[in-house]
Amino acid sequence: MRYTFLREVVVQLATKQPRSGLAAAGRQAGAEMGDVQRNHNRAVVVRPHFDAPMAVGMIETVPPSVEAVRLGKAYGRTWALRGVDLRIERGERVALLGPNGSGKTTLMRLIATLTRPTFGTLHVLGQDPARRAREVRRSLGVVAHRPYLYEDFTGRENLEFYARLYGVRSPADRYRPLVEEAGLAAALDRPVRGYSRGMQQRLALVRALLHDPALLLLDEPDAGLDQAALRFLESTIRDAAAGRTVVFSTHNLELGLRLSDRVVVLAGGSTTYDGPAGATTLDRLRDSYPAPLGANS
Amino acid sequence: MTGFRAQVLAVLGKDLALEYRRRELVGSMLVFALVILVVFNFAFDLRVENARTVGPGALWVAVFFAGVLNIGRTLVLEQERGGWEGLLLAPLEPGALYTAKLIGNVIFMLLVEAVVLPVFGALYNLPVLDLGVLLVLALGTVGFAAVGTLFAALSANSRAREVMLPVLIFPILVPVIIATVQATVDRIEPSTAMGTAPWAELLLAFDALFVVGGFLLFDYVLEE
Repeated sequence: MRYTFLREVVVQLATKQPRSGLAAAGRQAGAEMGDVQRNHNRAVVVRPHFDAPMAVGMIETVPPSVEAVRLGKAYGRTWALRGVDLRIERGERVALLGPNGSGKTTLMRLIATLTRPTFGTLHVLGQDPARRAREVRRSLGVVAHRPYLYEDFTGRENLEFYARLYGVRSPADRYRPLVEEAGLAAALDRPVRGYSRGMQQRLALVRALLHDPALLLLDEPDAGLDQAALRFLESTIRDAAAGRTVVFSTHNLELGLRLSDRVVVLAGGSTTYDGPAGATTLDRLRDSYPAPLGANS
Repeated sequence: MTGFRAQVLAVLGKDLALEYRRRELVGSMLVFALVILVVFNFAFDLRVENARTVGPGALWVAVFFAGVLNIGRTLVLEQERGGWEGLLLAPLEPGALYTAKLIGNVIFMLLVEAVVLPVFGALYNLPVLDLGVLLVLALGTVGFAAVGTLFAALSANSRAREVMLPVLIFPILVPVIIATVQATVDRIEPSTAMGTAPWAELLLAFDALFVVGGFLLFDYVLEE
């Protein structure tokens, strides 16, 4: 667009200032922590960075869905993430586990482009979210604690509004099968205000799938769900379209283990376990599960 | 991704449809503005000579304070319902989001002004249904909404956002407040002021500056 260049110039001028002391300290801390808090349960594979120029004859590979290197995030003086390394390949179903305050939601928000890291690097679907947020957002489907639905609109109006934002052609053709699968066809023309928590969550899932996202982020999507909603959630994760990556956080260890290919456990903002779901059992996971933040352990 | 115009129309259409169903913002703004006009009417001893100089001040106090109510509430309502993050997660041009919110705020304020202005004229016995006054009203409303929309987004993540918003915007709006009041006084009582044109030009320049500035900077305001 015509104004893009002008805006870039204005912002370049406006943002030419030294980086904050906190960010600099964070980067330093990240560099130190990254060495000691590197994942112990997963082989570390060194891969070329996306931004590195491709050598002639080098085979171009599909970038992973998420690549985080020593990712850190502070809110004021509180560190929510402390140098997390994470690489999620295309098509993987990853369960993020961890007690309250472990950094799951912060990690989700970083991947969802809703916030920026204090230190470390993050690439989502091969793009830097700080620079190309809109390109990343186009390929993201997000279900968070809030359903992002307008209560005064009907279910159909909500879906059609989001379809317009994402430029979905023939939205009715796209959402009809999803709505039927979610068991919401009969309620679609009712205001969302009258929906139960489970119905809202199912509609939020349909909303997130509307534009056929390459990466689906579900932050505790099972919280407060009834059985029908839980079944729809499970089928959404289990039967994810080929190539679609699903990252979901949950406190339900059994659910996380059952629906994922891989389990990542966070505690105090760091990764404490990262491995294939098949390589651990529910009991072992329970035994090694970290205590919640602030608990005496 | 949809085009710029489609994005603006989608968000604006959503805001207008939601307000039509709730009738929450415009209704509360209207009541607030009318109460201010009535209170001022009783508070001052409005003889013909001082009504012409005091009246425009009362009108603009009513319009601006009702506007703060509107601009503060639009984002709070979005945030309370979780729709704000839904918008931020969509591949929207920040400029499109700003434009849609700005147009929505201007429409809501103009709706209130359409009722407030004749009531003001009747209460203060002033000839306000004049093309010049309407033009000043429109320019002042756009300037106010341009600043308000930008700073409402800026204060959206602050804990005391409803207190922060007026504190942030009123110092910046001083030129608009002075220009609108002076221009309105001049339209009602031509001999008392230096003429409407310089004030209207100031308003036009202010509007242009903040509409363009808000449009360009909205992306950075939305960042955490």
